[in-house]
Amino acid sequence: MSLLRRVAARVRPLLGRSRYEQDLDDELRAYVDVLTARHRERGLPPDEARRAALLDAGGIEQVKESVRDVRLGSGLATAVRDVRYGSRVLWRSPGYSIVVILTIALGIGVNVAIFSVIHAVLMRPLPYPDAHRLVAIEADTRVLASARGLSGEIFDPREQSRLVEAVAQIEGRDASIEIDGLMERVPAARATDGLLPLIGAVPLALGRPLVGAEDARGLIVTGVVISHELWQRRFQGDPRIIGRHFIVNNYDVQVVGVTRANLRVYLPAANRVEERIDVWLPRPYSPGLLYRGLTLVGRLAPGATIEQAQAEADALAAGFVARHPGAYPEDGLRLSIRPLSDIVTRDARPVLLALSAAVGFVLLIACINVANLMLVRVKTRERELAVRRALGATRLRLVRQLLAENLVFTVIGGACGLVIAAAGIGLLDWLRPGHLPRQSEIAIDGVVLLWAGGLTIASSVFFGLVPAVLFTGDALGRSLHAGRAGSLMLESRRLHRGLVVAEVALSIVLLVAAGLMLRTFSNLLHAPIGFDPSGVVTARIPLSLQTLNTVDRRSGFYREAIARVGTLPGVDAVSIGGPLPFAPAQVTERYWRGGDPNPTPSMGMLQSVMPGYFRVMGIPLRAGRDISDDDIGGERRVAVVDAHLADQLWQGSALGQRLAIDGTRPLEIIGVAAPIRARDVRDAGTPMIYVPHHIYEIEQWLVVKTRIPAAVMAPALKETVEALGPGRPIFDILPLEATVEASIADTRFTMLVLAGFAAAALLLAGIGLYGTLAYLISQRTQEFGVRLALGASAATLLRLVVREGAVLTGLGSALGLAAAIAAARGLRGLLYGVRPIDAGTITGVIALVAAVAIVAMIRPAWRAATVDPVTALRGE
Amino acid sequence: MPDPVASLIKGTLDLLILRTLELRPLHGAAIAERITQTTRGTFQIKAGSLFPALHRLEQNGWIEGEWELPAGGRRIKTYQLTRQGRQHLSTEKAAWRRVVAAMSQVLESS
Repeated sequence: MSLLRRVAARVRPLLGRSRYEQDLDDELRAYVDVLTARHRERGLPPDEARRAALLDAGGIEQVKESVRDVRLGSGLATAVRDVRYGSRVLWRSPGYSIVVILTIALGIGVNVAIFSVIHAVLMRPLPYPDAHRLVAIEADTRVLASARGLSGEIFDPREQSRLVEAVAQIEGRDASIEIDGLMERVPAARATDGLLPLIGAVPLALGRPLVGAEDARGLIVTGVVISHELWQRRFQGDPRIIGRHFIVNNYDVQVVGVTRANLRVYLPAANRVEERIDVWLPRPYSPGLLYRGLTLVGRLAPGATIEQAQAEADALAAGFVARHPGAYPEDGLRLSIRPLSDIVTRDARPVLLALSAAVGFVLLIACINVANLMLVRVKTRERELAVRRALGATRLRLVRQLLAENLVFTVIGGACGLVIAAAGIGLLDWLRPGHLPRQSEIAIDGVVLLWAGGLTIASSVFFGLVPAVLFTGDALGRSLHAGRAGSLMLESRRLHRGLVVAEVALSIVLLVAAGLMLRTFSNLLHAPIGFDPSGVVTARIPLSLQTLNTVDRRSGFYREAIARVGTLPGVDAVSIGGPLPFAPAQVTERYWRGGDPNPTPSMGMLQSVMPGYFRVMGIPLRAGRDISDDDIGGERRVAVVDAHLADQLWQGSALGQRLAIDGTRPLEIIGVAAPIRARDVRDAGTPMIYVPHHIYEIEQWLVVKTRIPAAVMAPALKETVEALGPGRPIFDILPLEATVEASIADTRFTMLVLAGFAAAALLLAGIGLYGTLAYLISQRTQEFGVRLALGASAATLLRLVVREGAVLTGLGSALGLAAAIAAARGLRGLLYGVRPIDAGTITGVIALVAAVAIVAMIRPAWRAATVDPVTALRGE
Repeated sequence: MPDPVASLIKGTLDLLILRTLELRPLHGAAIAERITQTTRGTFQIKAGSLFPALHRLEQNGWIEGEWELPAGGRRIKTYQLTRQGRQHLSTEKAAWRRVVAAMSQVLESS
């Protein structure tokens, strides 16, 4: 009851405002009447009595104001009034409003966009059951290089660990499927039995999950699970899909299950699993793959922590190494167990953190700019505020009103910011950074909206409070009698300058970061990758093993394709090989010196090639000869190695030596090629082994050196290869340069986004500098007039302004450089071929800032130099 | 000259008003007069303190305002103590007495 009454008491003044005011009015009027009556009783005449009564009451309006303040409801009413006043301010000066709103919108927009990415990628748990208990198990790369890997000597975490259960393995690789005679490539994954349950895909929409023992005969797959999307798209949602047959990678398979719609898979990058998988193939569990870099996925046992699981793995590994001397290098066996989500987002994390710092800076600069504008704005109202203060408005009341006005701006700015953020997310989709996990989940949702709201309020307080506090303080009183040259002038000028210095400093930090990324990108573009992708067109040619069922037939097809394509107009050279450098799936094999009784294996990358491959790819042969048709026809056991490998095993003189590779008999080295980078532009020094196609059969690419663009070349290539007979698909006809560029797409993405932010920051800082100089000069017009009248030349005034601008820019640059040097350390992991403190970048940035500063100074300086002393003095 | 009211702590003013209304309902000016009379001029309550206090007490539900229309005169708002107000007053009185007793003990011991 009493609560109800209390609520009613607070709400009533809001609803029936006029009645409440009327009551208050009547009450106080009656009070004054009583006092007047008392004074008359003491013998004062009516007028005098009333005046005395009003004097006693002490200012009716002030009493009313403090009574209103008692009521919480009236606080709200005041806020509504302030906001209304703020909107009027907004309409009255549209130019100012648009600049402020756009600046705020830009600052908030980029922040919300990046936050929505961080929220989707880094903050939200993986959409799997018990996601917090899922772990990734990785092997130390030192083990990768030198593990003996004899079957009995591999340490198997699945078998040994008690604290990690349900260990599963998965490897992504696309597959070619053929349904009703129509072929296509779809994203596929080979997974052990436990994987689908682990990621919450079970129960399936239809059928049953994979069972390796039933769905494969040895390495031949017989049963697969397909995605809901593939089922709808290629099987028209056939309800009797279970048991239907189709062709996967040239083998006849049967559908055993269909996953639910929109199943998305988020796994470590090392496993190369696409987020949308159309075909799930069974694979046997093999701990050896762990030591080749394939991450295992498992789940912590109930009650176990990551730390306990890691300690257990360390102890088990140490025990294993002790029991199997020589299986791993001393101390070399170390497994790391980490939360799955950490590993999935590992590559994206440093980039996103760098970007979030960058957008923070952009917002800060935007806020400073707006604060600067507001300062000028409030300055023009200095007298209004002073008068109101003198008439009894409290300081809190004035600050509150100024903040409420800002809120109007920020709310509109924030709303526009959301539009910018939505556009930014669209742009992100278009830029499509290569390895950004969970990209499809990025969206503006409730949490993001909450963040946007919080950011809006925080920034409005930030840039509103500075002028509000300054202009309602004690100095305000003085400004009333100080006349035009308000005493706040000095204080606010200092603040203006401080804000501009901060702005320049912040934009320098962003510019340096963007500059470093630009240099990194350029370095990556021009890195010595060891081959020449220009003018090379590539196409995938995964042949049908059913049609071409012997090595001879396959070699024959390749020879024929090379010969036919070679006759096409515009083709300079043609060959076949694979996997292409920078293709997602590379082959790594262990190798050692042939005939070594006690070998120490290393890991190298392997390509399987046809004659002429080196010429097409522009890889120089340092010694020996290319692989020949005779090598392939005669099935000779030969290989070409790169100079790294030759140096490592035979100090360069490798010709005629014997190289041992896992799984085959030793090969004779017939040539030494110059080193190339095949996995990553940043990675130099992984040894390469080239073997003739018949020794290691793997999916091949047609490589064509031509002056004709890939798109123009494509129809002729397709026609020529397909004309050779059925079971010879050809697709993905692309320039090799595109593959190389795709491998540095992440860096390009970071660079473009950072450059965009830096440009925005520079623009804002330039506007800030211009605005401040222009304002300071307008404030000093009279002073300049006096100076001119007293004999100063226009050049002196010009110098005055330029010096002001130069000092502000210089100070800001110095501070900014110090901050940039500190901040660049955080970028270290993303850089390539450039150190965090790079003289070239710093020089470039300073030159750029100086140029912008000069542009910003031109107009204010001109205005100062052309001040007419007569007009300026008359203005007083 | 220091204003005695200024040194009045808020709770004391509330207590004075509640005590004054304990005897009978009164309007604003009468409350102020009554307090000045009973304290023999020690406390002179100005409108700037009186009305916010009255509205605060009303909001807390300790007093209740009622409009009266005297014959031929302007309508006037008189306040009276509510049941809750009476309870609050008695607990406050007890507390005040304890404070006074304690203060006297401190001030008069030497």
